[in-house]
Amino acid sequence: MTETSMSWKLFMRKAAYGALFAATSALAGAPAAAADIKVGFFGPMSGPVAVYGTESLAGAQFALDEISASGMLGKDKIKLVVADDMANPGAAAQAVQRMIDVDEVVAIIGGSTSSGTAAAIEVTRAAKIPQLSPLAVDPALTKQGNPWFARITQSADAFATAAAQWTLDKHKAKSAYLLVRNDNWGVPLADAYEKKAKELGINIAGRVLYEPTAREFKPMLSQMASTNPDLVVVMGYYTESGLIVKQMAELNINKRAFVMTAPGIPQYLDIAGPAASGTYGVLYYYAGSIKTPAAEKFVKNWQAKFKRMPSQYEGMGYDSVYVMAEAIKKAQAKGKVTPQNIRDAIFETKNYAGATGDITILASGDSKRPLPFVTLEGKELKLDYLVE
Amino acid sequence: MQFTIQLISGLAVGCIYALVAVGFSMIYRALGLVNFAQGDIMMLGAFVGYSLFVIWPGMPFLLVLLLAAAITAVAGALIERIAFHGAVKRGADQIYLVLLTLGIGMVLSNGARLIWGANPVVYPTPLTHEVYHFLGYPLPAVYLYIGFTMIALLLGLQWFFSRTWMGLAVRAAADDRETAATMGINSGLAAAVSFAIASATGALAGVLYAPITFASFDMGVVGVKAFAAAIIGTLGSVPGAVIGGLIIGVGETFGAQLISNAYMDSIAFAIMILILLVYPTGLMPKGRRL
Repeated sequence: MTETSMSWKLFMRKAAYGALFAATSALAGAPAAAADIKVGFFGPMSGPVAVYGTESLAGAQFALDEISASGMLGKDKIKLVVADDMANPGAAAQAVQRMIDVDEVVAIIGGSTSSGTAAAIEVTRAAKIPQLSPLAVDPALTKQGNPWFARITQSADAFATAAAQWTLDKHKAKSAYLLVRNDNWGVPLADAYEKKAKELGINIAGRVLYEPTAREFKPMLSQMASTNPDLVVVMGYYTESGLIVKQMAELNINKRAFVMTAPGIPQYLDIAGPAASGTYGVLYYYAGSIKTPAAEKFVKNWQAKFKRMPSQYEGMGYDSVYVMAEAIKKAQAKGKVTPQNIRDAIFETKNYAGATGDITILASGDSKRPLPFVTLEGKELKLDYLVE
Repeated sequence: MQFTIQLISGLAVGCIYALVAVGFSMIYRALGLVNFAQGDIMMLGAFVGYSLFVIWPGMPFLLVLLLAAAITAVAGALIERIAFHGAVKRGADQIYLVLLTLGIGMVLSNGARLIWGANPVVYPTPLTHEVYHFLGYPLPAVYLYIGFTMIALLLGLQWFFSRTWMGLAVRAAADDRETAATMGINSGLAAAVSFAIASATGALAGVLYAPITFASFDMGVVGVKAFAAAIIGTLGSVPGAVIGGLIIGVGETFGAQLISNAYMDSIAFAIMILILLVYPTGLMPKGRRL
């Protein structure tokens, strides 16, 4: 056998492989006409805070069905890859890693708790996959200059700032007394509230820190009562808020109380009992409070299907999918649905007419959106005021 | 007005500390060790009470109180049999026994989280939110139960330790195990009885505390303050534990008002340190421990 024939055979073999490779890649590329766009969705679907995950997922599914029916993305379809993180940071990071490595998602929606989200953004940032959270409010999440993370909810800081605005706009309160959980959750909230309140000319009659283990608030409540503030602001968990409101009633202190997000949590009503009625709080979203056509259409369609109003988490889950779908649509227009193009489009979201109000994603990844302040009448939530 | 309300609420919380502190003292008397699981046994009692309400909605509170105490007493005796009996018999060092109590406390609180969940639960009874008005003073209904339970328990323990054979046997075994054994007293049984009584008083504390706040797997932290109460009242003395509990309950209520709420938890220990500076062995005189 000569040297030439040898190389000839080699050439032939290479050519054969090449033809085979070309054929298979053509085969793989064939269904490109209608592709599944895989998007991850994670949050707690089991355990004590499962409601954040399951309800936002229900809203997300509802939005997906609408998007498929309307043909918003042409022939392409969004396919959700769902994972349960049990509100556990380790499980969240693992789930997100698996979505990226195995399912090859182009974007991720989640998480629904701040701790789960904090763990996941480390993974998505490294993998350069855009992540959009419907519910995580921890201010630290958007303070790392991470270009791959955005959320459609405000940070807790913005909730507190809006609360100061509400104090003045709706209640014309001249003074407020702050009861603050002494940890890295309560103190920054109180700082944000106090800063805005001072700007608006609201007098801070007092600010008392209490230990996270505190169960007995009567001494501080009687101190508070002696300053006679117009409003009591509690920056704590719903457990403490419930006890504070209950003990105020036991002490015959009749003051308006603002307890952050507690009124939307059923256990708050259990702990505070009848005293919960008449207290104020803030929700992510309150169905019926937004009067835009998009918001009213959502509530109407939801009621037609489920015969009840959507919850705050369902509304947020719904909007998270739409903001994501809008970004994918923009990426399609650019010619390629890549993580980079989706990310760029998410950060371009400006005054998007969502079900929970007009949403603008800021450069930090935070968002601007109306916030509904609510009050409890008996056990019923009622809209008190919308901070635009 | 505010002063009286604060005083009453301080006394009520003080009674809860006292009930847990009695448990500390009981076990210290019997085995000479500090049972750091006492707060978690209180937590267990609170959840047993909750389960009773779930099984039989509308069960009378008094019945819940007694049943929870009985069930938790059995659990306490079982803990003594399973975890301590063998260790004591084999002459385990005190430090190991104390560490054992710490471990049992962790097992109890993690176990409760598995069974009853991480979210706090509120007793489904009107008593939780009932407030009487007495001469214009708001008085949460559960405070009455707390007061009566405290008095009944003290009288009951007094009778048990001075009038019953079992009570005298427990005291004898606690004072001198060998001598008591030569008189035919089973010191192991005496220890189990002490654990049962300590657990029952812990359960009373838990069931009475739950309507004031709620039941949660981490409510055992109250045990730390109760421990300070037991020290103030001379560890091992039942009346002393009660006095210590009331001092801490009232002291931290007014201390928090005078100084700062942020230090409310430290006040209990500041009181303990101050009292020990003057009375190094606690407030109870020697020889009057039960």
